[in-house]
Amino acid sequence: MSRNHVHTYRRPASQAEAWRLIESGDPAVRLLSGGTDLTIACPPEVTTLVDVRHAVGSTIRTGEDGSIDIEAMATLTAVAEHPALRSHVSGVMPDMLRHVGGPLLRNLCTIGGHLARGKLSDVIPVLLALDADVTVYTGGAERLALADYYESDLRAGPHLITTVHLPGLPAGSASFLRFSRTAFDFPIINVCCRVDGIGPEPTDVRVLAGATPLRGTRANRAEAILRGGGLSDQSISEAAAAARDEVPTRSGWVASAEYRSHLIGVLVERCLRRIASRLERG
Amino acid sequence: MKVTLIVNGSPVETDVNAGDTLLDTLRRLGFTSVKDGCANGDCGTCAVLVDGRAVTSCLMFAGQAEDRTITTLEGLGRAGEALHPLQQALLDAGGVQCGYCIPGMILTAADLITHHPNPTRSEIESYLAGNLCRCTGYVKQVEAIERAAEVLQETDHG
Repeated sequence: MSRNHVHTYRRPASQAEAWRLIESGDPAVRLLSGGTDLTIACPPEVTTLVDVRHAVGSTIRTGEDGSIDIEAMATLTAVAEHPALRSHVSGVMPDMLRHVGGPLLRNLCTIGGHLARGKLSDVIPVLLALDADVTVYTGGAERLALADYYESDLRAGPHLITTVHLPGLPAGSASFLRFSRTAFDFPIINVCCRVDGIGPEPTDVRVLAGATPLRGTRANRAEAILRGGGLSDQSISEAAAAARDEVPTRSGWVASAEYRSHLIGVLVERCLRRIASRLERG
Repeated sequence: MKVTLIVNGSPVETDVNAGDTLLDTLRRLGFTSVKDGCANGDCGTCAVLVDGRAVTSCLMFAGQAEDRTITTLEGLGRAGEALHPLQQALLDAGGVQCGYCIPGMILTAADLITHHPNPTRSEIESYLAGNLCRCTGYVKQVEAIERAAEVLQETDHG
Protein backbone atom coordinates (compact mmCIF):
# COMPACT_ATOMS: atom_id res chain seq x y z
CA MET A 1 0.00 0.00 0.00
CA SER A 2 1.65 3.17 -1.16
CA ARG A 3 0.93 6.39 0.67
CA ASN A 4 1.68 8.52 -2.43
CA HIS A 5 1.41 8.47 -6.23
CA VAL A 6 5.00 7.49 -6.95
CA HIS A 7 5.34 4.78 -9.60
CA THR A 8 8.95 5.17 -10.77
CA TYR A 9 12.17 5.01 -8.77
CA ARG A 10 15.47 5.98 -10.41
CA ARG A 11 18.99 5.52 -9.06
CA PRO A 12 21.39 7.59 -11.19
CA ALA A 13 25.03 6.62 -10.84
CA SER A 14 26.44 10.10 -11.44
CA GLN A 15 25.55 13.74 -10.99
CA ALA A 16 25.35 14.14 -14.77
CA GLU A 17 22.84 11.30 -14.96
CA ALA A 18 20.82 12.75 -12.08
CA TRP A 19 20.81 16.11 -13.84
CA ARG A 20 19.48 14.60 -17.05
CA LEU A 21 16.55 13.21 -15.05
CA ILE A 22 15.64 16.51 -13.39
CA GLU A 23 16.74 19.23 -15.80
CA SER A 24 13.35 19.63 -17.48
CA GLY A 25 11.93 20.87 -14.19
CA ASP A 26 9.01 18.46 -14.49
CA PRO A 27 7.12 18.73 -11.16
CA ALA A 28 6.36 15.00 -11.36
CA VAL A 29 10.06 14.26 -10.84
CA ARG A 30 11.57 14.87 -7.41
CA LEU A 31 15.08 14.43 -6.05
CA LEU A 32 15.33 12.13 -3.07
CA SER A 33 18.12 12.43 -0.51
CA GLY A 34 17.20 11.46 3.06
CA GLY A 35 13.51 11.01 2.28
CA THR A 36 12.20 12.23 5.62
CA ASP A 37 9.94 14.82 4.04
CA LEU A 38 8.86 12.94 0.94
CA THR A 39 7.79 9.79 2.76
CA ILE A 40 5.21 11.66 4.81
CA ALA A 41 4.31 14.59 2.59
CA CYS A 42 4.93 13.62 -1.00
CA PRO A 43 3.11 16.13 -3.22
CA PRO A 44 0.36 14.42 -5.24
CA GLU A 45 1.93 15.44 -8.55
CA VAL A 46 5.16 13.56 -7.81
CA THR A 47 5.32 10.22 -9.63
CA THR A 48 9.10 9.72 -10.03
CA LEU A 49 11.76 9.73 -7.35
CA VAL A 50 15.42 10.27 -8.25
CA ASP A 51 17.45 8.73 -5.42
CA VAL A 52 20.89 10.41 -5.50
CA ARG A 53 22.63 8.09 -3.02
CA HIS A 54 24.95 6.76 -5.73
CA ALA A 55 25.41 10.13 -7.46
CA VAL A 56 26.37 12.27 -4.48
CA GLY A 57 28.89 11.26 -1.84
CA SER A 58 28.64 11.26 1.94
CA THR A 59 32.29 11.73 2.85
CA ILE A 60 33.60 14.42 5.19
CA ARG A 61 37.09 15.67 4.32
CA THR A 62 39.38 18.03 6.19
CA GLY A 63 41.90 20.41 4.64
CA GLU A 64 45.30 21.45 5.99
CA ASP A 65 43.95 25.00 6.40
CA GLY A 66 41.27 23.79 8.81
CA SER A 67 38.56 23.74 6.16
CA ILE A 68 36.01 20.93 6.06
CA ASP A 69 34.13 19.65 3.02
CA ILE A 70 30.94 17.74 3.73
CA GLU A 71 29.44 15.83 0.82
CA ALA A 72 25.72 16.41 0.69
CA MET A 73 24.54 12.86 1.43
CA ALA A 74 26.29 12.88 4.82
CA THR A 75 23.67 12.39 7.50
CA LEU A 76 23.28 14.87 10.32
CA THR A 77 24.56 12.13 12.64
CA ALA A 78 27.72 11.70 10.56
CA VAL A 79 28.32 15.44 10.74
CA ALA A 80 27.65 15.56 14.48
CA GLU A 81 29.98 12.66 15.23
CA HIS A 82 32.89 13.64 12.97
CA PRO A 83 35.95 14.55 15.06
CA ALA A 84 36.90 17.48 12.82
CA LEU A 85 33.50 19.08 13.36
CA ARG A 86 33.78 18.62 17.10
CA SER A 87 36.86 20.82 17.16
CA HIS A 88 35.83 23.28 14.42
CA VAL A 89 34.97 26.67 15.99
CA SER A 90 34.32 25.27 19.46
CA GLY A 91 32.20 22.45 18.08
CA VAL A 92 29.20 24.62 17.36
CA MET A 93 27.89 22.30 14.62
CA PRO A 94 27.65 19.15 16.78
CA ASP A 95 26.37 21.25 19.66
CA MET A 96 23.55 22.54 17.46
CA LEU A 97 22.79 19.17 15.84
CA ARG A 98 22.03 17.61 19.24
CA HIS A 99 18.86 19.71 19.14
CA VAL A 100 17.70 18.77 15.64
CA GLY A 101 14.89 16.21 15.88
CA GLY A 102 15.99 12.99 17.55
CA PRO A 103 18.63 10.41 16.60
CA LEU A 104 16.13 8.41 14.51
CA LEU A 105 15.67 11.46 12.30
CA ARG A 106 19.31 12.58 12.32
CA ASN A 107 20.37 9.13 11.15
CA LEU A 108 18.30 9.60 8.00
CA CYS A 109 18.30 13.31 7.30
CA THR A 110 21.12 14.44 4.99
CA ILE A 111 22.77 17.83 5.17
CA GLY A 112 22.17 18.45 1.46
CA GLY A 113 18.50 17.57 1.66
CA HIS A 114 18.14 19.74 4.73
CA LEU A 115 19.67 22.76 3.00
CA ALA A 116 17.56 22.22 -0.10
CA ARG A 117 14.45 22.12 2.08
CA GLY A 118 15.56 25.51 3.36
CA LYS A 119 13.13 26.33 6.13
CA LEU A 120 12.52 25.95 9.86
CA SER A 121 16.14 25.04 10.31
CA ASP A 122 18.66 25.15 13.12
CA VAL A 123 21.40 24.11 10.69
CA ILE A 124 21.16 27.02 8.26
CA PRO A 125 21.89 29.92 10.65
CA VAL A 126 24.91 28.06 12.02
CA LEU A 127 26.29 27.38 8.55
CA LEU A 128 25.68 31.02 7.62
CA ALA A 129 27.54 32.10 10.77
CA LEU A 130 30.44 29.86 9.74
CA ASP A 131 30.57 31.49 6.25
CA ALA A 132 29.77 28.17 4.54
CA ASP A 133 29.78 27.72 0.79
CA VAL A 134 27.88 25.11 -1.20
CA THR A 135 28.62 23.47 -4.51
CA VAL A 136 25.53 23.16 -6.67
CA TYR A 137 25.29 21.01 -9.80
CA THR A 138 23.17 22.18 -12.71
CA GLY A 139 24.87 20.34 -15.54
CA GLY A 140 28.15 21.78 -14.25
CA ALA A 141 29.38 22.45 -10.73
CA GLU A 142 29.21 25.93 -9.26
CA ARG A 143 30.49 26.92 -5.82
CA LEU A 144 28.88 29.87 -4.10
CA ALA A 145 28.31 31.23 -0.62
CA LEU A 146 25.38 29.58 1.16
CA ALA A 147 23.94 33.05 1.75
CA ASP A 148 24.06 33.73 -2.00
CA TYR A 149 22.49 30.34 -2.76
CA TYR A 150 19.42 31.32 -0.80
CA GLU A 151 19.23 34.66 -2.60
CA SER A 152 19.89 33.25 -6.07
CA ASP A 153 17.54 32.13 -8.83
CA LEU A 154 19.06 28.65 -8.56
CA ARG A 155 16.49 27.59 -6.01
CA ALA A 156 13.63 28.27 -8.39
CA GLY A 157 14.85 25.62 -10.83
CA PRO A 158 16.18 22.07 -10.73
CA HIS A 159 19.54 21.76 -9.00
CA LEU A 160 21.54 19.37 -6.89
CA ILE A 161 23.52 20.42 -3.81
CA THR A 162 26.63 18.23 -3.80
CA THR A 163 28.97 19.62 -1.12
CA VAL A 164 28.96 21.96 1.85
CA HIS A 165 32.27 23.73 2.44
CA LEU A 166 33.29 25.17 5.80
CA PRO A 167 36.31 27.47 5.64
CA GLY A 168 39.16 27.26 8.12
CA LEU A 169 38.55 30.10 10.54
CA PRO A 170 40.85 31.99 12.94
CA ALA A 171 40.92 31.02 16.59
CA GLY A 172 37.77 32.12 18.35
CA SER A 173 34.48 30.69 19.47
CA ALA A 174 30.87 30.31 18.44
CA SER A 175 27.67 29.55 20.26
CA PHE A 176 24.17 28.46 19.26
CA LEU A 177 20.92 28.62 21.19
CA ARG A 178 17.37 27.85 20.20
CA PHE A 179 13.94 28.22 21.71
CA SER A 180 11.03 25.94 20.91
CA ARG A 181 7.82 24.81 22.58
CA THR A 182 9.24 21.34 23.23
CA ALA A 183 12.74 19.98 22.74
CA PHE A 184 11.53 17.92 19.75
CA ASP A 185 9.73 20.77 18.03
CA PHE A 186 10.82 23.14 15.28
CA PRO A 187 12.49 26.27 16.63
CA ILE A 188 10.46 29.38 17.30
CA ILE A 189 13.69 31.31 17.07
CA ASN A 190 17.36 30.42 17.06
CA VAL A 191 20.58 32.40 17.26
CA CYS A 192 24.17 31.71 16.34
CA CYS A 193 27.06 34.04 17.19
CA ARG A 194 30.68 33.68 16.12
CA VAL A 195 33.59 35.74 17.38
CA ASP A 196 37.03 35.47 15.76
CA GLY A 197 40.12 36.43 17.72
CA ILE A 198 41.00 35.71 21.30
CA GLY A 199 42.06 39.21 22.44
CA PRO A 200 39.84 42.05 23.68
CA GLU A 201 39.04 43.17 20.12
CA PRO A 202 37.43 40.60 17.83
CA THR A 203 38.87 40.36 14.33
CA ASP A 204 35.45 39.45 12.99
CA VAL A 205 31.96 38.74 14.26
CA ARG A 206 28.79 37.10 13.05
CA VAL A 207 25.40 37.46 14.73
CA LEU A 208 22.52 35.60 13.08
CA ALA A 209 18.95 34.88 14.02
CA GLY A 210 17.04 32.14 12.26
CA ALA A 211 13.77 30.22 12.12
CA THR A 212 11.69 33.39 11.71
CA PRO A 213 12.72 34.96 9.38
CA LEU A 214 12.90 31.60 7.72
CA ARG A 215 16.59 30.87 7.28
CA GLY A 216 18.94 33.24 9.03
CA THR A 217 19.35 36.99 9.06
CA ARG A 218 22.56 38.79 9.98
CA ALA A 219 22.25 41.47 12.63
CA ASN A 220 24.62 43.99 11.04
CA ARG A 221 24.27 46.71 13.68
CA ALA A 222 24.91 44.22 16.43
CA GLU A 223 28.00 42.98 14.63
CA ALA A 224 29.30 46.56 14.24
CA ILE A 225 28.87 47.21 17.97
CA LEU A 226 30.90 44.11 18.81
CA ARG A 227 33.63 44.91 16.28
CA GLY A 228 34.06 48.32 17.90
CA GLY A 229 33.51 47.44 21.53
CA GLY A 230 34.63 43.83 21.85
CA LEU A 231 32.94 41.54 24.34
CA SER A 232 32.57 43.97 27.24
CA ASP A 233 29.39 43.72 29.31
CA GLN A 234 28.18 46.97 27.80
CA SER A 235 28.78 46.06 24.18
CA ILE A 236 27.19 42.64 24.65
CA SER A 237 24.05 44.26 26.07
CA GLU A 238 24.00 46.87 23.31
CA ALA A 239 24.54 44.26 20.61
CA ALA A 240 21.72 42.10 21.99
CA ALA A 241 19.37 45.09 21.99
CA ALA A 242 20.42 46.02 18.45
CA ALA A 243 19.81 42.47 17.21
CA ARG A 244 16.41 42.43 18.90
CA ASP A 245 15.42 45.66 17.16
CA GLU A 246 16.91 45.13 13.71
CA VAL A 247 16.06 41.52 12.78
CA PRO A 248 12.59 41.41 11.24
CA THR A 249 10.20 38.89 12.81
CA ARG A 250 6.65 37.90 12.09
CA SER A 251 3.72 36.59 14.04
CA GLY A 252 2.54 33.01 13.71
CA TRP A 253 0.36 30.62 15.62
CA VAL A 254 3.15 29.64 18.04
CA ALA A 255 4.54 33.10 18.83
CA SER A 256 3.98 36.77 18.12
CA ALA A 257 6.52 38.92 16.31
CA GLU A 258 7.12 40.87 19.55
CA TYR A 259 7.86 37.70 21.49
CA ARG A 260 10.25 36.44 18.82
CA SER A 261 12.08 39.78 18.87
CA HIS A 262 12.36 39.57 22.65
CA LEU A 263 13.77 36.05 22.32
CA ILE A 264 16.37 37.22 19.81
CA GLY A 265 17.67 39.77 22.33
CA VAL A 266 17.81 37.20 25.12
CA LEU A 267 19.48 34.49 23.04
CA VAL A 268 22.05 36.83 21.46
CA GLU A 269 23.05 38.07 24.90
CA ARG A 270 23.37 34.51 26.25
CA CYS A 271 25.38 33.33 23.23
CA LEU A 272 27.77 36.27 23.49
CA ARG A 273 28.24 35.84 27.25
CA ARG A 274 28.95 32.16 26.73
CA ILE A 275 31.57 33.04 24.08
CA ALA A 276 33.12 35.74 26.29
CA SER A 277 33.37 33.28 29.15
CA ARG A 278 35.01 30.66 26.94
CA LEU A 279 37.50 33.13 25.50
CA GLU A 280 38.37 34.45 28.98
CA ARG A 281 39.11 30.93 30.16
CA GLY A 282 41.25 30.42 27.05
CA MET B 1 10.02 -2.90 -8.89
CA LYS B 2 12.29 -5.46 -7.26
CA VAL B 3 14.50 -4.57 -4.31
CA THR B 4 16.97 -6.69 -2.44
CA LEU B 5 17.14 -6.05 1.26
CA ILE B 6 19.54 -7.76 3.64
CA VAL B 7 17.28 -8.39 6.60
CA ASN B 8 18.74 -9.92 9.77
CA GLY B 9 21.65 -11.27 7.77
CA SER B 10 19.70 -12.84 4.92
CA PRO B 11 19.15 -11.33 1.47
CA VAL B 12 15.48 -10.90 0.66
CA GLU B 13 14.33 -10.03 -2.86
CA THR B 14 10.84 -8.64 -3.02
CA ASP B 15 8.50 -6.68 -5.27
CA VAL B 16 7.55 -3.24 -4.00
CA ASN B 17 5.73 -0.24 -5.35
CA ALA B 18 8.16 2.60 -6.00
CA GLY B 19 6.51 4.71 -3.31
CA ASP B 20 6.39 2.04 -0.60
CA THR B 21 8.12 2.79 2.67
CA LEU B 22 10.54 0.41 4.33
CA LEU B 23 7.99 0.05 7.13
CA ASP B 24 5.28 -1.22 4.77
CA THR B 25 7.73 -3.57 3.08
CA LEU B 26 9.11 -5.12 6.26
CA ARG B 27 5.66 -5.74 7.69
CA ARG B 28 4.51 -7.31 4.43
CA LEU B 29 7.54 -9.60 4.63
CA GLY B 30 6.39 -10.71 8.09
CA PHE B 31 8.70 -8.70 10.32
CA THR B 32 5.86 -7.66 12.59
CA SER B 33 8.08 -6.42 15.40
CA VAL B 34 8.26 -3.31 13.21
CA LYS B 35 5.16 -1.46 14.35
CA ASP B 36 3.06 0.88 12.25
CA GLY B 37 2.39 3.51 14.90
CA CYS B 38 2.12 7.06 13.63
CA ALA B 39 3.65 6.52 10.15
CA ASN B 40 4.81 10.09 10.52
CA GLY B 41 8.26 9.86 12.11
CA ASP B 42 7.04 10.89 15.53
CA CYS B 43 6.63 7.74 17.66
CA GLY B 44 9.67 5.55 16.92
CA THR B 45 7.77 2.25 17.05
CA CYS B 46 8.88 1.39 13.51
CA ALA B 47 12.59 1.87 14.27
CA VAL B 48 15.00 -0.59 12.66
CA LEU B 49 18.76 -0.57 12.24
CA VAL B 50 19.96 0.31 8.75
CA ASP B 51 23.70 -0.22 8.40
CA GLY B 52 23.83 -0.22 12.19
CA ARG B 53 22.03 3.08 12.78
CA ALA B 54 18.49 3.32 14.12
CA VAL B 55 16.02 4.95 11.75
CA THR B 56 12.28 5.32 11.56
CA SER B 57 11.37 2.94 8.75
CA CYS B 58 8.24 4.97 8.00
CA LEU B 59 10.49 7.83 6.84
CA MET B 60 12.48 5.71 4.41
CA PHE B 61 11.43 4.41 1.02
CA ALA B 62 12.06 0.70 0.42
CA GLY B 63 14.22 1.66 -2.55
CA GLN B 64 16.58 3.54 -0.25
CA ALA B 65 17.25 0.33 1.64
CA GLU B 66 18.39 -1.57 -1.46
CA ASP B 67 21.46 -3.67 -0.63
CA ARG B 68 21.69 -2.20 2.86
CA THR B 69 21.87 -4.19 6.07
CA ILE B 70 18.64 -4.07 8.05
CA THR B 71 18.17 -5.41 11.56
CA THR B 72 14.75 -5.80 13.11
CA LEU B 73 14.07 -7.06 16.60
CA GLU B 74 13.66 -10.56 15.13
CA GLY B 75 17.36 -10.39 14.29
CA LEU B 76 18.48 -9.38 17.74
CA GLY B 77 17.10 -12.20 19.84
CA ARG B 78 14.06 -14.46 19.99
CA ALA B 79 11.94 -15.96 22.75
CA GLY B 80 13.36 -19.32 23.74
CA GLU B 81 16.82 -18.41 22.51
CA ALA B 82 19.54 -16.33 24.09
CA LEU B 83 18.21 -12.82 24.52
CA HIS B 84 20.23 -9.74 23.68
CA PRO B 85 21.43 -8.00 26.88
CA LEU B 86 19.05 -5.13 26.15
CA GLN B 87 16.09 -7.51 26.03
CA GLN B 88 17.19 -9.29 29.19
CA ALA B 89 17.77 -6.02 31.02
CA LEU B 90 14.31 -4.76 30.08
CA LEU B 91 12.75 -7.95 31.38
CA ASP B 92 14.77 -7.79 34.59
CA ALA B 93 13.95 -4.11 35.18
CA GLY B 94 10.23 -4.47 34.48
CA GLY B 95 10.64 -2.04 31.62
CA VAL B 96 8.05 -3.71 29.38
CA GLN B 97 4.36 -3.12 29.90
CA CYS B 98 2.15 -3.19 26.82
CA GLY B 99 5.30 -3.77 24.77
CA TYR B 100 4.27 -1.85 21.67
CA CYS B 101 7.14 0.63 21.81
CA ILE B 102 9.75 -1.89 22.93
CA PRO B 103 11.09 -3.18 19.58
CA GLY B 104 11.85 0.36 18.41
CA MET B 105 13.22 1.34 21.77
CA ILE B 106 15.55 -1.66 21.92
CA LEU B 107 16.92 -0.99 18.44
CA THR B 108 17.45 2.69 19.20
CA ALA B 109 19.25 1.71 22.38
CA ALA B 110 21.31 -0.84 20.43
CA ASP B 111 22.47 1.96 18.13
CA LEU B 112 23.34 4.09 21.16
CA ILE B 113 25.40 1.53 23.04
CA THR B 114 27.15 0.37 19.88
CA HIS B 115 28.35 3.86 19.03
CA HIS B 116 28.55 5.23 22.59
CA PRO B 117 29.34 2.18 24.73
CA ASN B 118 29.32 4.01 28.05
CA PRO B 119 26.34 6.39 27.80
CA THR B 120 25.37 8.72 30.61
CA ARG B 121 21.79 8.77 31.84
CA SER B 122 21.33 12.09 30.08
CA GLU B 123 22.63 10.65 26.80
CA ILE B 124 20.24 7.70 27.10
CA GLU B 125 17.31 10.02 27.75
CA SER B 126 18.11 12.25 24.80
CA TYR B 127 18.71 9.25 22.52
CA LEU B 128 15.22 7.99 23.32
CA ALA B 129 13.71 11.36 22.39
CA GLY B 130 12.04 9.85 19.33
CA ASN B 131 10.67 6.71 21.02
CA LEU B 132 7.35 7.31 22.70
CA CYS B 133 6.09 5.06 25.52
CA ARG B 134 2.67 5.72 26.99
CA CYS B 135 2.85 3.09 29.76
CA THR B 136 5.98 3.34 31.82
CA GLY B 137 7.28 6.90 32.02
CA TYR B 138 10.68 5.69 30.77
CA VAL B 139 12.37 5.28 34.16
CA LYS B 140 12.64 1.50 34.03
CA GLN B 141 13.67 1.54 30.40
CA VAL B 142 16.48 4.03 31.02
CA GLU B 143 17.67 1.93 33.96
CA ALA B 144 17.58 -1.18 31.77
CA ILE B 145 19.65 0.45 29.04
CA GLU B 146 22.21 1.57 31.64
CA ARG B 147 22.39 -2.00 32.91
CA ALA B 148 22.67 -3.48 29.41
CA ALA B 149 25.51 -1.10 28.59
CA GLU B 150 27.31 -2.27 31.74
CA VAL B 151 26.77 -5.92 30.83
CA LEU B 152 28.09 -5.37 27.32
CA GLN B 153 31.11 -3.50 28.68
CA GLU B 154 31.85 -6.37 31.06
CA THR B 155 31.43 -8.89 28.24
CA ASP B 156 33.68 -6.91 25.91
CA HIS B 157 36.34 -6.41 28.54
CA GLY B 158 35.89 -9.74 30.29
